[in-house]
This record gives sequence, structure tokens and C-alpha cells, in this order.
Amino acid sequence: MKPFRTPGARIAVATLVAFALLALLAPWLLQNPNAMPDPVGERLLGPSLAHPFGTDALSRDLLARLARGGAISLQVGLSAALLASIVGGSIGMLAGSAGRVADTLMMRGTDAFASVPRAFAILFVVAAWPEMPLWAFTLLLGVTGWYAVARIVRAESLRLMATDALTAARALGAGRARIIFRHLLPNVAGQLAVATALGVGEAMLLEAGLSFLGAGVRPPTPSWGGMIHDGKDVLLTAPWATLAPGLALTAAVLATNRIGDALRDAFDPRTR
Amino acid sequence: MTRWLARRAAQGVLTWAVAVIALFLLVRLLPGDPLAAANELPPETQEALRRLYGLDQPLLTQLGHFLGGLFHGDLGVSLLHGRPVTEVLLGHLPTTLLLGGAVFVADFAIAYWLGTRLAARAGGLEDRWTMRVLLTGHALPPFWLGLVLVWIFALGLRWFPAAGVSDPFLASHIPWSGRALDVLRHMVLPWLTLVLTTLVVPLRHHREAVLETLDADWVRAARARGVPESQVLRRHAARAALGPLVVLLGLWMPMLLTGAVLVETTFAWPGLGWLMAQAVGGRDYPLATGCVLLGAAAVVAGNLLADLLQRLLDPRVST
Repeated sequence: MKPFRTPGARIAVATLVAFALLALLAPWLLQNPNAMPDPVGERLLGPSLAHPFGTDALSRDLLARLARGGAISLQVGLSAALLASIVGGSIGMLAGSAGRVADTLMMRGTDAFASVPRAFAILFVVAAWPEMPLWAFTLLLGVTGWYAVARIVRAESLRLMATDALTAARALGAGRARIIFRHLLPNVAGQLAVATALGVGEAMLLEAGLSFLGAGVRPPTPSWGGMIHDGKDVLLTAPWATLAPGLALTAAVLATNRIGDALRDAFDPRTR
Repeated sequence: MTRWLARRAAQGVLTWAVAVIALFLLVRLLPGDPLAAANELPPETQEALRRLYGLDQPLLTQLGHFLGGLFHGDLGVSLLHGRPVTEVLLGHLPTTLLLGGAVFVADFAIAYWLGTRLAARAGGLEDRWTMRVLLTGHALPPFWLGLVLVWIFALGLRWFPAAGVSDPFLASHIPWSGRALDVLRHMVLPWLTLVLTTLVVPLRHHREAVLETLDADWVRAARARGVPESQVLRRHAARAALGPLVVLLGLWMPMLLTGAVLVETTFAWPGLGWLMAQAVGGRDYPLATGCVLLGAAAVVAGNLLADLLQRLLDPRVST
């Protein structure tokens, strides 16, 4: 594919594939991420052959937790970003093609939702629903992430609606559904792909942040944010417990952002 | 102008009110319960609490009570602090404004200066590497970067304090200048964390805007008149690109507040973000509500400010 010809984009794809493979092969290669074979004797071991990334304060293997946590992180990030793009894309295309009154109403509504900072909105729901399951958390990440997508897609739809091609389509009697699916969607698909790729990194960072605060993925399910939280109490004696998940998260987010930028360069030749 | 401002302000308040009502209804419709913390109490006590907080009333009555209280500046009593939520919020607001203001100044000043500089050197070594480093900064989890900075500069080198806003053991005879210095020393690491993770957003935006204006006909005309290149860049192109930078203010505000929740918690910096995390951890539902209301108000105010500045900079804009 054209966007993936640069070395940077290739490294990014390779990084994500490596994380995915590690997570897929973990059941055969590594021990159970929640196993505590010797809760006292194997606490906070440094990196060794048996534990390449050392062990945490409950003597669980950090590499196994890293692999499983990465799979969860990527799953949550990807699902949330996809959901955000579907919601944002639909609302953007509807607003852009629905005429002035509906457009104004929808965009004012978007402004209202967007005025609540994402972390605040999610934390607020967690405050009232502390035992939120993972699927609800993912859903919440998705439904708080679509505002920017909706604005981009709406602007592009408005521009398209003013073109001769769309005037002709409407003159020929094309209905709302046909306009959206045959004319708008193919033309905003590129920007939607870019927004989705960039949204994955953002969602992963937020997921990690909220898990770090104890409001995201629940222990003992491993997550990178939760691992950083566990590691911070032993920062001086076992820095690897904090460094490893943070570096893994940074690498994954850099990779998804790089893919987003590569897509952007491919779909939008104006930016440099 | 005054009429425009009044209309925009009214629109802002309406936006905020819709957000508040939507959140209120959302939380009530979800399976959760504001009194989740009281789950282990005997049923009679739970009933009494429910009556005390009006949770046994119909949804619309509750909403009416909530909005009525809001109108009077009454947000209820914080369970953790035992004081009115409004009082707690006001007490922590200056701390967050200090840090947020310092990040704001750094973000936009550096973005303006460095973005202009990089645009003039677009594609060069300095441009490529600066962008690479700052894009990496944006991919760093802010709370993790904070921990790493604490590890290196507070625990390792002992240059800066690891947490808090001031030294509680500071002798009482120290003059105000010494106290201010102490607060600044506490602010360095959280400030650095937030700047490193947010800077690239306004910087990249400004760099692209300058690049675009550098191609404009009137910039070429200025060059043709013999205006030196440095003047073309600083006087013409960079200033014309100020509009897009100001627009970004509206997007930057929610980003800062989300970062603040994590960074303030990491550094025990007692601002709005720290308060929000504390409220959620301590199941202090009224306090969490107050924090969200204030956070949303800050975003609406940021948008309003961006619109106002943009209008002052460019009279053609008519939003």
C-alpha cells in the first residue's frame, strides 16, 4: 500500500504486529500473567533469563503481564477509535447534508458534549458506576471521542455538498441515503481512516491514564496503566516495573500515530 | 462587538447547560448509583440517605432541584471534605490556574517562536529532529513521564521536590519571596511534564499555518519589494498565521484539563484534576459533579476566548 512505503511507517506497522504476535503467542511461550508461583521469594526480581523483564511486587512475570496488557490496550484503543469514527462520521455526514437548521442543532449539540473534557466525563461516570465492566469502559471511551471527527467530516461534507457533482446528484433525485453512502462516504473515507488511526493512540493513552488512576481496566486483569501504577510504589528498588510498561505504551502509541500521519500524507497531499 | 460578545456568551452558557443536563441524565440512566459507597450500610440507612439526597424523587424533580441549587451556587456538600463543594472548588482553583497558566504561556510562546523558525527551515535537519522529538513527547503517557522525571530529578539528583505545592516544613520566618520560590520549585516538574506532552499540538499547527502563508501572493510581493527574509518571516508570515494558532485555544483547553487529571495526581498537585481523581477514588459524588461542571465551564470559556481573540485579530471573521 502506498502510505506504507516510508521506513518510519514500516517500523510502525512492524511494532504493532510484534505486539499482536507477542499477545497471541503468550499462552504457549510465557506463564500465566496472573500466576504467583512463589509470592514471597520471587518478589521484584530484576531482569533475568527466567523473567526477561523481572517480576512485580506480587512476583508475577512482567513480560507475561506486558504481553496480555498490550493486547487489552490495543483492543480497547482500536474498538474505542472505531466507535468514535463511526459515530463521528455519521453525525458529521448527517449534519453536513441535512440543511441549516438540523446542521446547527447537531453541531451545537456536539459543542455541548465536547465541552466536557474526556477524562472528566469518563471519571464522572466511573464515580457513579465504580464496578464498570471493560466493555462499558471501552464504549465510554468511544462515545467521548467522536467530536473532532464529526467536525472534520461535517466541514468536508459541506464542501462536497456545494460541488456540481452533488448538485447534479440531487437534481437527478438522489435521496439522503444515496447521497451519504455513494457520494459523501467515499470522499471522506480517507479522512475517517486518518482520524481513526490517530484516535487509537489517544484512546490508548487515556485508557492507560484512567487505569493508572484505578478507574479503567480492573486488576488483576493486566493493563499497562495499571502496571505503571503498581510500579510507582517501588520506583527506587525496581524501576523496571515502571519503565517497561511505559516504554511499551509509548512505542505502541508512536506506532499508531505514525500510521495516522502516513495515512494523512497519502490522503491529504497539502500537508507537509 | 458588545452585542456579538453577549450573544456568544449566552450561547456558551447554553452549551454548558446542555452538557450539564446531559451528564446528569446519563449518570442517572446508567446502572450505577451515586450512593454506591453506601452499599454495605443497612437498608434503612440507605433509604434515609436516599431521602436525604432526594434520590427517591422522580428524575425530573431531581433535575429541577439540581439546577435550582446550581443557580444559587449551591452544589451540595463534599463527602470527603465535609465542606460545601463550591468552597472546596474555589480553594483549589488558584493552584490549577497557576500550573495551567504557566503551561499555557510556555506552550503558545514556544509554539509561536519555534513554529515560525521551523517553518522557515522546513524539511531541514533541525525541523525534522525537533518534530520527531516533540511528536514522541506527545506519545508519552503524561503520568508515566511525570514518574520518570521524579525518578531522575527528584529521587536521583534531588534537584526538585517530588510532589506537593509547597514545603510544609518551611520555617515561618521565610519572606514571601522565598515562599514563591518554593512553590516555583515544586511546579517545575509537573510543568515540564505537561509542556513536553502538549507542546507539539500548537507547534505543529502554527508551523503548518506559517508554511501556508509563506506561499501566499502578498508574501511574495513583500519579498519582491525587497523586504529582508527575516522580516518577511517574523513580520508578515508569522503574524498572519496567528489566527489559526488562536483558534487552537479551544482544542487545547480540554487537552490540558485531561492531562491535568493525570499529572496533578502524579505530583500530588492539589488542583482541579487532582480533586477530580480524589473525588472518584473516594466516591465523593457531589465533588465529582462540581469538578465536571467547572471543567466544562473552563472549556466553554476557552472557546469563547478563542473566538474573541480571533475576532480582534481579524475583523473579517464573523462567527
